[in-house]
Amino acid sequence: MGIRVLPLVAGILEEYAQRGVFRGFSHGLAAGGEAGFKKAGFKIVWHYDREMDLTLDERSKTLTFTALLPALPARSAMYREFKEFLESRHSPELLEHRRIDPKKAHATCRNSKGSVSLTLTVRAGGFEYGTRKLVNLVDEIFKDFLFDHHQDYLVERHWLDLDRY
Amino acid sequence: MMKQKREQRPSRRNFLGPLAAGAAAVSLIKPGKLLAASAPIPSIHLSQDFIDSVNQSTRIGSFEGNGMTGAEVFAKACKDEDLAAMFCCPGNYPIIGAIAASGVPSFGGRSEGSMVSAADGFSRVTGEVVACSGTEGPGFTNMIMNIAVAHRARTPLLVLASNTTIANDDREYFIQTGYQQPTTEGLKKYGKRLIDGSRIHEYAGYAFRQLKTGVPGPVHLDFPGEVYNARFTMPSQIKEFYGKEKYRSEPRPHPAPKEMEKVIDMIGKAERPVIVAGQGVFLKKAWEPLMRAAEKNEIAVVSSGPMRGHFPDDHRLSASLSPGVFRSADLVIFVGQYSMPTHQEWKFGTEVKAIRVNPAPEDLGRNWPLDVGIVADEAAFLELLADGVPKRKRDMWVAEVASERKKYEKQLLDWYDLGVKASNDTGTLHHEVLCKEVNDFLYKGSIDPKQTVTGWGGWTIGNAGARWLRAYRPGQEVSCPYQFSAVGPDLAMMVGAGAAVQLGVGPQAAYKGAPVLVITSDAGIAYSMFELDTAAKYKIPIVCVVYNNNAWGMFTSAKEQRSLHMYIFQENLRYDKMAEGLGARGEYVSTQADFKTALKTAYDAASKDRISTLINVQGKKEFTARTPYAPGNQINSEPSVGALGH
Repeated sequence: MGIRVLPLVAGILEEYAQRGVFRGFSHGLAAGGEAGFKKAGFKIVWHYDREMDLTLDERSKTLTFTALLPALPARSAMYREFKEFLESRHSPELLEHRRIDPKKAHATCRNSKGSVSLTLTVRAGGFEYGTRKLVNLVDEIFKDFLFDHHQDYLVERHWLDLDRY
Repeated sequence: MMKQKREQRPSRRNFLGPLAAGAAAVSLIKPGKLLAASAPIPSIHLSQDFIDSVNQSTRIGSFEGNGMTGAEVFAKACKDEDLAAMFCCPGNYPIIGAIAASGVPSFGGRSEGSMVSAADGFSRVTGEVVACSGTEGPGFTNMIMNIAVAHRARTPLLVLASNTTIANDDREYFIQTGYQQPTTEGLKKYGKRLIDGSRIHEYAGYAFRQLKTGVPGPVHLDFPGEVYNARFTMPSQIKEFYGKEKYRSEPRPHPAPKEMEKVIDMIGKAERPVIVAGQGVFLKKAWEPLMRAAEKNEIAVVSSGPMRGHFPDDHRLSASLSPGVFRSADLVIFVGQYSMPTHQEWKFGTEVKAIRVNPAPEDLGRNWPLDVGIVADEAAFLELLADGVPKRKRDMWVAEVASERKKYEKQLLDWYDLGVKASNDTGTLHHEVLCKEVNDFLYKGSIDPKQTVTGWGGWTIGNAGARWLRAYRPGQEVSCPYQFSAVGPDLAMMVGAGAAVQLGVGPQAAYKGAPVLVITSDAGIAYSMFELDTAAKYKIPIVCVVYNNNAWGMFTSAKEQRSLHMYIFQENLRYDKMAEGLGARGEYVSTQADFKTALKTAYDAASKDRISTLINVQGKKEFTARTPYAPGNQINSEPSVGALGH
């Protein structure tokens, strides 16, 4: 199982890098030995040229972007909206190709002292479905949730440079 | 007749009074007295010299008598190449003289930079090669920002400038000397300082080869005196003196049959394909096969580039008002998209496959990795596509495009409602309200929605304007800040666009003589407002809406309170009054109702009397921030209406 999941996920991520979805990608080291690995990390250079850390945990069947959104207080309106946005991505009102089917995978977030991590738990869809949906979700968070609705946050983080517009 | 018309125009006497009376008088007389200045002050009018000049018959140089000058040989080449127009300021005298005399429509304006943008604007709404010219040294360096704007927009722009004499190269002889070609490095497709008069025709060929083939861009020629003053009494004195059919070809590279098979196969497998119709589709006048291909296979289309309208916004397959739909696309076909975005910049989702069709092979694969890259002429590709794709219905996809459009339009109306509230609360006009009023007036009233060519620029107001302006036919909308995002060329660009409409060039033929409209900012108008004089001189009717919020749009970037003063202007400046001083009409408004009236009056004056109007719309800089006046400034997502990055 371990041998199959790691190359599967790494291969999918590598494909995104090859298609320009990511700007940079490194395959991280697997912890616990290749045959019985439990966790693996990946470095992804992506939106606003940030390096993002993705952890694959086979045992808990999760994929986690750690510290995806910094400086986002748990009690802020924006964090509440973020949680609502995540939930909305599972809505049956969305078209099939736009939605994360909760039977197949489920995305949640965690806020630790303002640092927001995003975890997708793989269910019946397996790791291929889960990886693809998670990558699309993060892309959506940056292009739709943040760019369309929270440009001020992007500017404050110095991710969006107004001089470029 | 002309005199009578002049006298019917609004008097600027009251405004000009203090200026004419002189500074000493201003210091001695109270303002109230100034308005009642008793000395008669002549009205603004066109001189007989101007009228006589524009009515002169055309003249092409010949080898008879004193022969042809180098300037005349170059002008003849431009005429033979159907150079569509020239915009200039004095300088480079023999060249601009010969081009004007040859019958190329020529316009003289108030600053070289603005004339570059006027030429750029003319080209953006026609697709034609247009020239601009300035004098050596200061005139030329004044053009730089605007050349860069044209370069990013891949405008087929012929940049001409005089440049001292070869005999005095490197000597700083007298004034205005400088090395031009290194200055335009990175801002041109091709450039050359001409050094041999006998090769002037040959280099005209170099220029037009670059301007008319492949992906276009500015071509910069600088002329020393020895070249334009060279004199030729017989053809043999001019080297490589043969016609355009010999020195350049009109290639239409076609995709290989296997490439088309692959494309059609990918379209067949796709559930939700989108064509990004870039400016190459417009330049190659390929909107008919684009429409045919899209409708036959129900492929969604978003038009993109420095001009819009090569796929109509109101078509059921148009995704230009459905930015939410791009995430669903599983195949994107870029056709003639010369300024390529990265995946991170555009709204497409992570599973989308990509085909790109471009006339220049060296750009394929830049920024956006491709599944298929094709070197082809845009029209040739689209014709093959339209012929090759099978008929297909994609009901779900078409419904999704419609649904996302509905969401987008609701969003605009929600912002408009917030704008109305902000306007009512403050007694000034919110940018969303202004822009919706323009939309209602141009597209939902008595005017043919396809008639008016529009342009937009500025920050808060530019982004809003872009959301509300529409393009229903080719060359109907200009994205003035496209890609380079320069502040200020907006009005100048629309002087050029307006000239094209007056002449009825290319896709403007059906709307010949109609007014044009530009929405710009108080920061932006400072760069090119004097071109209202140019518009008045040549009777180019422009409705120029200036959103006056007393500040640079970037004032929100003043994080230090001590720096804020650098971002703000005097409050309530009167751009309308300045416009009156330049021979245009001026309107001042601060309410929705007054704006409606002013817009109609301005459009009527433009339509009936070919008089331009600047409408000064008083707003507040605080509307730019989202607190307390949501929605604040909104940067538009791309691609869609309002895109300026790519």
